[in-house]
Amino acid sequence: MSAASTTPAVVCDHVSKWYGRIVGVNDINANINAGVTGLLGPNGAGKSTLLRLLRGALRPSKGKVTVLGEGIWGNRALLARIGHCPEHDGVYGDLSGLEFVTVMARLSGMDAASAEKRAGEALDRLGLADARHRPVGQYSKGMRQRVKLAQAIVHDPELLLFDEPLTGCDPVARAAVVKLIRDLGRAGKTVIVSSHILHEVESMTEEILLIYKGQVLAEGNVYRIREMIDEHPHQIRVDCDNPRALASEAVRDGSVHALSFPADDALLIETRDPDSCYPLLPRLALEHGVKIRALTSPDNNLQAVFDYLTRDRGPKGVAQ
Amino acid sequence: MAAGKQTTATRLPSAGSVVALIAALSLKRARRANLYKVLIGVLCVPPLAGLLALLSDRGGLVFFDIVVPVYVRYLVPTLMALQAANSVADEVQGKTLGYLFARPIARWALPAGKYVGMLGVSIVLCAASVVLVYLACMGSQVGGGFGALGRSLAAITLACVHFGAVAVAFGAFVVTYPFVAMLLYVLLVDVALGLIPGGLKVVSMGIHLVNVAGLYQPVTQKLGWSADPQLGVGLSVGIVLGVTLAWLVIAMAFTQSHEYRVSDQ
Repeated sequence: MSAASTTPAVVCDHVSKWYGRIVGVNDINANINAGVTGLLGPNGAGKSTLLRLLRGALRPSKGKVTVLGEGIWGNRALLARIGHCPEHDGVYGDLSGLEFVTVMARLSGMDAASAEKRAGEALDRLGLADARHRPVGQYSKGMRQRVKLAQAIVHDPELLLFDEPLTGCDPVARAAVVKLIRDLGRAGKTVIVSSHILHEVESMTEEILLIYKGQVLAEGNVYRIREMIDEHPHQIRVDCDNPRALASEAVRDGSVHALSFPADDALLIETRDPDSCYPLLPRLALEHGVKIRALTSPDNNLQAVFDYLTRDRGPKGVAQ
Repeated sequence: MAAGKQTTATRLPSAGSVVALIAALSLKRARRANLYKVLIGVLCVPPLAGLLALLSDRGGLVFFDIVVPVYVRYLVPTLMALQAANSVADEVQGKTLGYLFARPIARWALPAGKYVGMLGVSIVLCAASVVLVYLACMGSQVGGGFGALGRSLAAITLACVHFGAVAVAFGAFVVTYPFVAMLLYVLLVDVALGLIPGGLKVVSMGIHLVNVAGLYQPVTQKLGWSADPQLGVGLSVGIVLGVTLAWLVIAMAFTQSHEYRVSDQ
């Protein structure tokens, strides 16, 4: 998060959105600053609804959305400062990539000449220079994803809303998109990236907003979120040559809450007292001749944080 | 970046430029989707019929006067209904609406642009078709009935103007199968009311268009509700333009305020 930020770029103040009796998002409170923020949650969590609220495509049923210091609903001028890449695969298949992005630039207020120039630059930046004159309908899924991103950045917006931007991308396209997002964040833009795949977001940022069943579970740095879940057991994975021997000794210690064997040569310990448990394990291994190859904490992975936070909220609450 | 500070060098696009851009986009896409080839194919049928009528000695102005009401009451509405699917509904079905509404444009400019985009081409194609019908069925007598041709062209133009607005409105209201919805409306409301004897005829735009073409023949011998209304051409033109404006305003207001479904965007 940028230290230069004075006012949050996005403020959600008790925002709710209902579709009839269905809750899209429920009482969302969040401040999002410049830089890249990952919006995480499983499919149907409310991520896309929240992004639509942030770009004024939906009117909140309750609460207020403030974007770049102004209310977004009905604020046409503000849309010139927002770039949006939708999740779905809809594109103007009969237009070429250059025509598509140029039209979008012109609808953002650019004149014809600068729109075409900027469209070309945006396509170049996404690695689509050679395909710019081909109909978008002939693009691969990854190329379509990139042309969608090109139209989102063509007018140099301050706030970028990317809904599942890595969907369908091959590794090369994925690397290009991740680099683009990181570059935009470093350039001081506010980039909100939604995803239901946690490691995708990890490659872009540590700032996350966890959303589940329309509610924000947690926001902030992944390590700060980890502090919020202290009541949950901390996980320690021990890769060693004799995990069962180590387990039989470790279970006698009061700091160990639960044990499992994720692999033949690995032991997963859950503890509520990691400060005691971390020194205990090497000592027990030394005493009983167990060779430890690696001692890691899966909790530093966003997936673990997400699992923890959603575990008690429904049987299918965990992404992936 | 401090919020509230605008860094983009762009300015908001004017409503006129947005309408023009959307009209151009709509035209380009319709051309590439071969929509106009379909329209031209349909519009070639009446001139061929006119030629056949001429060859079988049934042509002339009589045939022309039979064909023109078919244009304004059935053919033009059908062609416009075909283009209704190319309106807002097309953006919703193609999931491209979100791109447009994410731009700093007035939402009402979308149906307005679609209307402008479809109108010019439709008028040119339909007028050309009517002229061909005239030439075909008049044969060597071309030159006679120029007045009828002029009135017919005026009626055809007005029909395109009116049913184009209806098509845009249906394209905004009904995002699935707007063609069918509009065709049902035309048949069950406009055509049906035009067939009922009496004052209800005034509600049928098709009757007013036939009147503009100089071909309205009211049955006035009957009394009361069953007597057809007398309609001046000026009144018919005024009613058609007024109703057209109402359709357009409703379509634009609806698009401006309607929250299209989440999956639409």
